Amino acid sequence: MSPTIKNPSAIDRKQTEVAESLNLVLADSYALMALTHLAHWNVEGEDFFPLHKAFQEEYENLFEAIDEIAERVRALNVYAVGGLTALGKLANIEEFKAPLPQKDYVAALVVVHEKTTEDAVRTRELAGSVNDLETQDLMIKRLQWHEKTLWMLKSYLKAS
Amino acid sequence: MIATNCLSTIETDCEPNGCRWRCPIEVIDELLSQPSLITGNEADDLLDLRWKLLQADDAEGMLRLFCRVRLRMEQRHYLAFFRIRRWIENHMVAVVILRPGAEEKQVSVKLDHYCVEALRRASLCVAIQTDSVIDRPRLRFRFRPKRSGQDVCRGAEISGKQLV
Repeated sequence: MSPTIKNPSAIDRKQTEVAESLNLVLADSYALMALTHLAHWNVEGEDFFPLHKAFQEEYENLFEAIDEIAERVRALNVYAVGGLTALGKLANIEEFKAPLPQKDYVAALVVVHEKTTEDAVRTRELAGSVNDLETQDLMIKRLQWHEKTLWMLKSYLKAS
Repeated sequence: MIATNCLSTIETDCEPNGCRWRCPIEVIDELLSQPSLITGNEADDLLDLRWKLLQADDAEGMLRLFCRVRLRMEQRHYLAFFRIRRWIENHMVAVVILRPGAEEKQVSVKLDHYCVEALRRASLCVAIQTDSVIDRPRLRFRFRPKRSGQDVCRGAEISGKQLV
């Protein structure tokens, strides 16, 4: 559980839940960024150039998103989770190690995107239940990007 | 236990009860729900694989069938077979006895090959790297035991009733 700055009232408690859920999305995104970076560095094979470039665009997007999510957590008066061990533990994502076949990098990243998407949907719903439109808007923006990325990654896997 | 020069690709400490990978029955059901993308023979093989996964009493037979179906279908359904592959890796072990009277060793199964004999050889290589005395080694594949009273996959039971 993330430490709150003050002892929350009944109304604030729900908002704290939203912030904690956001912290989970933050941890997921950080883990996904690290794994995408790993894939960017280590991918090999005939599709090296397009995959190397696509992975770079993805981890750059995630890097910016992480800052935005963390700042939203702070705006909700909760501390943002940080540190590799804490982030990894919270995200609870099974990591992969290089070397992998190029399609396995893509498939493994699909699985992490799906987990992040599930947690972002939960956060969006939670934010909606307390009329926190700003968090909801942020999650909608993230979900749009994750869904678009999932479509692209899955489309690559459908190629022969 | 994974040797440093092992061919394995993904290291995992995932246990069946906390598995984060999608249930293979669910994945197979998704494939079966797209009849335009699979042939009749492939549907038959998928149903057999589904049955063997539900029964969970013949790990080697299941693995042999998985290898056959994977070889035939993986390139057209890569993500589905990736999910099934990763689930199997997390729920199966190779049990090795390196010489008569020696203790059993369990090694992780990495599905980096497309036939059971190659998988057997790779698992044996991993086991041998930790013990230099070998005499008529034996190896069998086994599902990881599940906690008593708890289903490995509740979704599989529900789907099983619908389809079987």
